[in-house]
Amino acid sequence: MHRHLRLVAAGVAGLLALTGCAGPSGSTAAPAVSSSASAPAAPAQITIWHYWDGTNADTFDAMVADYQKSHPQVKITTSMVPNADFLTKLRASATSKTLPDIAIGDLVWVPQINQIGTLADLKSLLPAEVVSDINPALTSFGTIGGKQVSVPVSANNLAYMYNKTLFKQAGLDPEKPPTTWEELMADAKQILAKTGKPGYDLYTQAGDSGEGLTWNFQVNLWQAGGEFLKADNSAAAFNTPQGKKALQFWVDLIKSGVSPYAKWGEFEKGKGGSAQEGSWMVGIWAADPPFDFGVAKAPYPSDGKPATNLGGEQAMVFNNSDANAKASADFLAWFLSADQVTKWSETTGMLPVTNSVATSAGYLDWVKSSQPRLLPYVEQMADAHARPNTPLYPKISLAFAQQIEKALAGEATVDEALAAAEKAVNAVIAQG
Amino acid sequence: MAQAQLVIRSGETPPSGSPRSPRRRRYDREQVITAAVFLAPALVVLAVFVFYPILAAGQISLTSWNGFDPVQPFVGLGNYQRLAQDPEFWNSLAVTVGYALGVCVLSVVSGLAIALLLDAPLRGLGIYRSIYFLPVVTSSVAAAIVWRYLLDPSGLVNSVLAQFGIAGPDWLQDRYLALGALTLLTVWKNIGFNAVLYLTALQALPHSIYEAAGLDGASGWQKLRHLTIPLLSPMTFFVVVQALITSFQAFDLVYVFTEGGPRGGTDVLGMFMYRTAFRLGDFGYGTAIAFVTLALVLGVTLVQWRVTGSDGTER
Repeated sequence: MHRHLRLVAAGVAGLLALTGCAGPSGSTAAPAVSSSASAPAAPAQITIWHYWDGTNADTFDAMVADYQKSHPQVKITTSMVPNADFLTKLRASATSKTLPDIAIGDLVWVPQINQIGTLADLKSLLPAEVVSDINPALTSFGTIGGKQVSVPVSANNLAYMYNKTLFKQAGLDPEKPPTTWEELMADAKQILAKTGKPGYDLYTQAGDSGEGLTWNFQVNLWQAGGEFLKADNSAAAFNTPQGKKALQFWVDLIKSGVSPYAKWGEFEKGKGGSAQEGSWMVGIWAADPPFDFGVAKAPYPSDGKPATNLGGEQAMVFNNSDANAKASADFLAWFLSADQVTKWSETTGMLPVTNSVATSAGYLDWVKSSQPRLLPYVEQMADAHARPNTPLYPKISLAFAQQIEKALAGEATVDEALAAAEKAVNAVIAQG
Repeated sequence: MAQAQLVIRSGETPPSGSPRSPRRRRYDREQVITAAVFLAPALVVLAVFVFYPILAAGQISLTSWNGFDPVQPFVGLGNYQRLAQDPEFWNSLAVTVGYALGVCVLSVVSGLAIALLLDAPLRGLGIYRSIYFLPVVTSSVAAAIVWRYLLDPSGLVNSVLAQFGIAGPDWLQDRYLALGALTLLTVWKNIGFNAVLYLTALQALPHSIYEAAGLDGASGWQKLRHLTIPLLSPMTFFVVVQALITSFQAFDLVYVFTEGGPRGGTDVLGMFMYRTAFRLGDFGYGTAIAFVTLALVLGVTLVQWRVTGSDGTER
């Protein structure tokens, strides 16, 4: 009986400590008051893993330090885990029960990471107004089985980037980038004819993940009016006239010589006219642009519709303990507040994840005055599609790319490649 | 390589108790205890870091584990059945076998040729030996990157060909050319090592036999054909086994050089396994590939053993 009493007492004490610790973090307004009031609870120790380096890592660490200044009851440790090792390390730590409290990774990883099974539902942990302000295409990615298992912390998308110097040399107006596929083709042909350099880089090889090819191709697929998978991710949906149109566009680009097969990277070296590039390139090149480059919205077929692909990082909270989950959510709520989203976006060149910031006069003024090349990306967020939200996505992406590259290499026709890709993707889904 | 050395050594001195040793020694209890005490630490380390992981991997290969789910769904031999029907696996196996054969033949020929040259009385021999050994100590990643630049459509190789009016192909975009290039790269990388092996064996050959052959009027070619090559066969066996193991385990060179491309043309088993397990998170299937690779290497080595005899002399 005595032992039981002691256990109950210990339990109550523990609960008190938890609430004491979690209390102040609930209100972001005046944390100093409550922490100095009663018994000083031990600060919640939370760890965050991310794969950023350079400016992004420095900015993130500085912001974490800022947060600590106003939130002394939470102690945050950040670790940089290289992108290529991230999932492997996460798997290992799941086995040894040493998961971080927050993992910030590529959004396509979310359904896979969710399989660990210990992700907290952020819908109940974050204030409703924070979640509802996030771009819905981004939150859709972390919505699995009715749970909000992740929230975005940064976003990017793909647009048309071009070399203004080469445009001039080819006799094109560098202030008039193409807006349709037809114009893109014509401009690229003119660049090839006048300068001998490839007019438009294409990502033509599957490599060991396929995603480079797949996620670039999806932009054109959506623009042509196609879909990648059925809405419930139960089967391939790209083997349609729209899919054929998109793939035919790529094959025509290669056959006409403006996009040499297997030569991705010419544009980035300054040896190519244009390419479909991510918004992060603006950030990478901001300090020291290698050549005079311009950005325009991704050109789409004259009878199609604007579309781009959505990328970025999402934060997931592992439910290591109630106190840690709560403290983690408190940090994320702070990170997603207007001031922080603005600061993060302006310093790193990533796109704002909340609608209020993306449309705020302050942010748009900053883009126009100091980073106008980001404007097409910001405007495109309205047309951005998310990739299918399924743990099978990495396998689907590779299976798709392995078949499509045969058409790009001239080993299969457009129809054959799409039919083979459909078969391969459906086999992956059936395999489960 | 360590494995191959082990193989050779155990072959040279047959373990006591085997039919080859005439008398079986009796060990007294004290000796057994002493041996056990000395062996125990090594056995514990081996058990924890070698045997247990192999067994654990064997167990994972019977599941469809995705690396994340705490549950490892048991599928029995399902992964192995899936392998048998997977065109990617058969492609990978064909590529690996072709690559391994190429590497074996070329390693023996090039290693022996260079060793014979280096064995000759030459001025500045040390310099030549260092030059041939340089690729061995160069990192695989650096070597692969340099070769990739050399074979670029506008790289050095095609520029030189252009001087002679030949339009060079896009080497790494044709599956057979790419596999050939990978084989040459691997052989080139290890040429110095194989040459050193042959050189050691050459210098250990008894002079008296050559003198006797010389008295009988044998020409240099006859000496090479009938004396040197047969006498070197234990070393040839070692070079072949080592080349086989290297090519069945190939990964780093391939990963940097071609990533398994073009369109699966250089997709060796190591690459296939890495992609399956670590890129696609299909750990059960990935470990099954690893086990099949292990079985293949073991099998090939055993067959060779039967054919040539464990000490390399033909039976």
